[in-house]
Amino acid sequence: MRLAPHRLPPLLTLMLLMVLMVLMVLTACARADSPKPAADIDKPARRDAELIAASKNPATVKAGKATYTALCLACHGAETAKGDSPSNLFDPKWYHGGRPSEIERTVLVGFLEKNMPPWGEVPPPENPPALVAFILSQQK
Amino acid sequence: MTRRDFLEKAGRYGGASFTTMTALGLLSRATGRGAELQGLPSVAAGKPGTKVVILGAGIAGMAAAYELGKLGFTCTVLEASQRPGGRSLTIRKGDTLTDTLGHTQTCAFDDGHYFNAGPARFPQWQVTMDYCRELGVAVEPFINVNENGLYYNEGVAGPLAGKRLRQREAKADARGHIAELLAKAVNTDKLDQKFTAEDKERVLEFLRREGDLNADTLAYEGSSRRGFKKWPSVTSTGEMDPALDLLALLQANFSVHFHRNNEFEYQSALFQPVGGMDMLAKALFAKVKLVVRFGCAAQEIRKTPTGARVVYTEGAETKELIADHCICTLPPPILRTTAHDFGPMVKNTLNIIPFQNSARIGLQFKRRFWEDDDRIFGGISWTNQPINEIYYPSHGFFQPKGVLIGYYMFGPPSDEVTQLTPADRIEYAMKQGEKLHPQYRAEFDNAFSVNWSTVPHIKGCLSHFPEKLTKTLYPFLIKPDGNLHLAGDWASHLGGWQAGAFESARHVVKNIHAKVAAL
Ligand SMILES: Cc1cc2nc3c(=O)[nH]c(=O)nc-3n(C[C@H](O)[C@H](O)[C@H](O)COP(=O)(O)OP(=O)(O)OC[C@H]3O[C@@H](n4cnc5c(N)ncnc54)[C@H](O)[C@@H]3O)c2cc1C
Ligand code: HEC
Repeated sequence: MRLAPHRLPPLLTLMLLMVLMVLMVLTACARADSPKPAADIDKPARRDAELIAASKNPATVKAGKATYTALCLACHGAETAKGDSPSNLFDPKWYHGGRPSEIERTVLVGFLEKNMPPWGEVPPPENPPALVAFILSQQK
Repeated sequence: MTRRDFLEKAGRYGGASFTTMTALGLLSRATGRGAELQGLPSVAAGKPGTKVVILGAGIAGMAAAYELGKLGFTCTVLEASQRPGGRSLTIRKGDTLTDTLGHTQTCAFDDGHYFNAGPARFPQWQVTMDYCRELGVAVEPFINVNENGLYYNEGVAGPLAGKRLRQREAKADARGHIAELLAKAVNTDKLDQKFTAEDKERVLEFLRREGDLNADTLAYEGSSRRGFKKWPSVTSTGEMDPALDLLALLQANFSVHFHRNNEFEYQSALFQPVGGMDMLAKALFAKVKLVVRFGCAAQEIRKTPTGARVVYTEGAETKELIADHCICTLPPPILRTTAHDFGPMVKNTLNIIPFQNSARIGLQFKRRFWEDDDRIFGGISWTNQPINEIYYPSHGFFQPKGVLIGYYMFGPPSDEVTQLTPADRIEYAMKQGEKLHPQYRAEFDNAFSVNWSTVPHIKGCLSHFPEKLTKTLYPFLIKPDGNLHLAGDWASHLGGWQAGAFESARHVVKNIHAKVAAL
């Protein structure tokens, strides 16, 4: 068997390796039966339904909460509906769209100019949906 | 005459400078917990690789310039604002701040009073303490724990909701009750661990002391540790209130406040510079002022085949600076929106650094009622209201007026006040603060508030790198990317501490020195 003709340059290989490592670390706590990645994000109604269903799955919500604690808690605080601020994810008001699919988009794309990171670049694909499921599960 | 005597005498007559003496190791130099710089040989003047451009004149940038200067490097520090110190910001009479939302405040405190809008304290083990010594900055204790300080939690279950308690009351009673429970469990052999009779007696002895338990019955029956209703004097042995009920204490959820002072960063003793935290930044600035250029904002950070190139604006002009190395200390929210050649993984890492907002308000009162009426001299009171904590000044006791910190908030509450006008922020602090101190409104004088996400050129407060990503992404922050280097508290495991900025600067200085020494 011949070696594949296109070998990745070493730097790129290293980068991919690092990304993989991140994925492995992050997935460890989020595997539990997460909804599928946001492949069909352009079909909002269906995506809303999927995310709402996910928010009723205790294992997914638990995985989402763990990721929330690790990556989001510092800026978004604990689950309380008190106070009105764009970074309060547990009050009924949404500043960037409150449909589940819109919340998911916010998490993936972020608003760097407002200090909200674009998480789509980092955690494994099933993490953001689990996060959204957790956030939705906390809505009163 | 010893060598030290000679140098000290010579120093007094201007013959040997402080730096010569520190260079000779005769006065102690800052020793970090990471990179050791002591004993590194100076580079030859003009040697290739020794020209360094540093972006930002906060603690990290100035510390890097200071340490590199000692080693013979030629540095230029570009600082976008008009003052040194960055987040190390102390507000005094006449100081003005216009935030990015356009609110302008001018400080109207009385002379001699100040408000540390950023850093306020450092524990004795941090390198910050060493730099105070090395730079001749006088320090005094920062009172972090005051047992006379208050706890006030509202909206919780049980009879203690909405009640003001002295910290010692809640702590002594909670410890006493828990020690009693444990002592009883030990006595009934209901613990997993098997104790010999002797061991059991040792554990009980520990618990008796730990909880101040009745020596015979092992019951907690209250303790003088919780303080008195009527304090001991010549004619009175002291009168105590009855101990609070354990369940009531747990319902009131005071334990969330207990642990803060146990954390390694907050354990006694902590210190502050006399006269305001920025005294340290100012002392550092005095060492590097010849190489700092204010009003110079970096716009592009580029790699070149041999070093670095920085494009910056000075007033209306766009200029360029070419150097062998570039140390970038811009806070992540600024760096993310600056054009740069850091690699894609560094970029991803920078994007997810949780550089969070925080908000603080300094309230000047006409009278130090917390001292006069409540006998709280320094320290912090805690509440579960959004204001979180009230810091009393650790200095200026007995003066007629005083400035306290009326809130220190993170997360959504800090974002909430960020949207308020300065006047409304005062009301926000008043409405919650007066539940702990009803004197607030009658004694209020004036205020100054800072929301860190809207401070120009900083746009955030601090970050703790997510522990989950320390093995994967964090390494990108602390590794040179060609001749580009990142420094700042957020590029260390001491995020949110000036010590992180110092240690990070030292780490980068060591990397650059090693690279140049190898040339
Ligand atoms: C509210 C608060 C409380 C804190 N409490 C404590 C405490 O109690 N104890 C403690 O030790 N630490 C504390 N800290 C942390 C401490 O302030 C920081 O760790 C330290 O000051 C960071 O220094 P730095 O040099 O890394 O960054 P900074 O001080 O942020 O310096 C960055 C510099 O870059 C400049 N800059 C920005 N953009 C540009 C540009 N384009 N070109 C050139 N220059 C630019 C900025 O103006 C700034 O001067 C606190 C911080 C805050 C905000
Ligand atoms: C560095 C701080 C920071 C971190 C970390 C962070 N966020 Fe945010 N986030 C913000 C800020 C600030 C806003 C509000 C932006 C604005 O002003 O509109 C925000 C807004 C949001 C919103 C939109 C809220 C609305 O009302 O529409 C969502 C959803 C969100 N964040 C989810 C997350 C999740 C999930 C995580 C963790 C993976 C996370 N954020 C981590 C700072 C942060």
